[in-house]
Amino acid sequence: MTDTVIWYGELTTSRSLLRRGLAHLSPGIAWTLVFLAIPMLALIPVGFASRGSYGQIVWEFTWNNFYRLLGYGTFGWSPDYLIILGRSCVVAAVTTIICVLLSYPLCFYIACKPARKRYFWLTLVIIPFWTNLVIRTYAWLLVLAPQMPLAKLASFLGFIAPDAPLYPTPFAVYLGMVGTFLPFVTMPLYANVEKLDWSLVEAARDLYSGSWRVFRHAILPRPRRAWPWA
Amino acid sequence: MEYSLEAYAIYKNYGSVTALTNVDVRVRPGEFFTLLGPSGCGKTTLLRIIAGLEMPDSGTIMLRGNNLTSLPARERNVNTVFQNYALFPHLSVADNVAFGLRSRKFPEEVIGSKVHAALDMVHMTEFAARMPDQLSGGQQQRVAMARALVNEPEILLLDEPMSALDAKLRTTVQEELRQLQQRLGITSILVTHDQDEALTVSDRIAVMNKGQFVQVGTPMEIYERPCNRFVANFLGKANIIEATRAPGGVQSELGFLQVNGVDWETGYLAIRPERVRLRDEAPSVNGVQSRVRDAFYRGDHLDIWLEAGNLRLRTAPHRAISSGDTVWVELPAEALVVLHD
Repeated sequence: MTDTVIWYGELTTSRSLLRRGLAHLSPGIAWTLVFLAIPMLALIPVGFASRGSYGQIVWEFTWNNFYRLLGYGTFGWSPDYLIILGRSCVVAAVTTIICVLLSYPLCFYIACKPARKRYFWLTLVIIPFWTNLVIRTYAWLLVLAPQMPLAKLASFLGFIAPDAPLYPTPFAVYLGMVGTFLPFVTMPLYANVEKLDWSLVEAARDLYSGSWRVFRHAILPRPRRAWPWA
Repeated sequence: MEYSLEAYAIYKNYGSVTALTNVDVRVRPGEFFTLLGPSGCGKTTLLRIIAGLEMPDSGTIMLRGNNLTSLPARERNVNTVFQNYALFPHLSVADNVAFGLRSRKFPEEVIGSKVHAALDMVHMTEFAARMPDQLSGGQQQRVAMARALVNEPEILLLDEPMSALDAKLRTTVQEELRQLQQRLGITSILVTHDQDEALTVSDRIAVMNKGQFVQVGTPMEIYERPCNRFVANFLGKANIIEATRAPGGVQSELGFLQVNGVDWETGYLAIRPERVRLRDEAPSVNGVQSRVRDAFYRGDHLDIWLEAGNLRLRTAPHRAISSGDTVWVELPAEALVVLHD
């Protein structure tokens, strides 16, 4: 008998487990390949193609598109595309940080609730997913409209001109981004926080740690594995 | 007498569940005190309240005369060895042991020597650089002990520290724990449901049931003189005999039994199987003649079940006794314990 393992109380081989795991994953992998990975890969050759007079793809391969991305446009070098690219990266990074900072307390709040209530709260976090993203984004436009309290408050405090909407502003962008991506961060983070070993927290407290030390040693090491997902 | 730890009138409820009702504890300095009881009796709750991990609903806790009741765990000079050891998985053994010292900002040189001394006490110095997941259960338990002891707490708390060890290892560890505690002279409170463990390590045992203390005494007092059926049955095995008071003793289904100190009209007596004596002929008092229902050979002793009163007795395996034999046994008056329900 080669290399048997006990997996959740079942005696099996690691090869059989691997095969079983792949069988479970293959529909998901196939879907992701066909609808996500392959189309993205298909974009790479398109990046090297040129544009015809009607905007169609002409299969003449050239580096032209990349030059233009780096700023070498028709009228000489301008940093526009680079600025746009840079800004996108900054927005993404800041959104991630804000989402992580907001998710942590949310996850702990949910994890501290009695087991039955937890799924209720998680459902609340997921429900927005059921609405189309475009519709949700447009809904933000309504919330930030000039007639709504938020915009009125902002103009009263002098941040914007009276009767102006709160968009398009960086604030609005971040609001939309964080709102969209918060559940993506919360769910894997919650999965980790739920498995937290509270006896470590108690041990740290018993060993004279203040809150920061408890956080650093009893809580942080565990959910760190969730960060790549964020 | 001055007590190391005193707790008065401790009440604790969890919603509709009452965990502790009016519990008083007094532990002497240097004593090994055990809280013994079945699951759900409140012993762990009491330990956590002493540790500062839970707050009682009412009551006071005093450590050497200082009122601890409102202090959180980190301000009490009390350390706990947890049931699952709770070693920090991302820290090495040495860092784990040093954790409490670093929290209290001891200088590094002092930490180094203290950690070494603590690991030496539990014979784990060679493992100082290992990570917890590279250790066996018994080794993890020693590290957890060292981590608590290095802080030189006034009271050491142990929450069923041996429940995760296999039976053979447990006996060795129990004896080592007792020796270590005696050598250090540190007041210790252990929580367990294992009566062998309680009898082995303790100076005094408090038997608990349903959130209250049932009986407190030395292992010998608790074992030889249980106060009621619960304690008699919880520690070891006991023969329980229902009886009515009669002049000079009691009347029971086994006949008249001579016993002193009967202060009820009807009640129960208890006698331990090993105190029931096998006789060749009828004894002068407290004799019972009975057919043997079963006899089990256990190597170092015989377990015999009698038909009369469903008595169980334990005897040295000299005589060959088998089921169907008729024997005389004596229930010595001094071995009969009057129970108060």
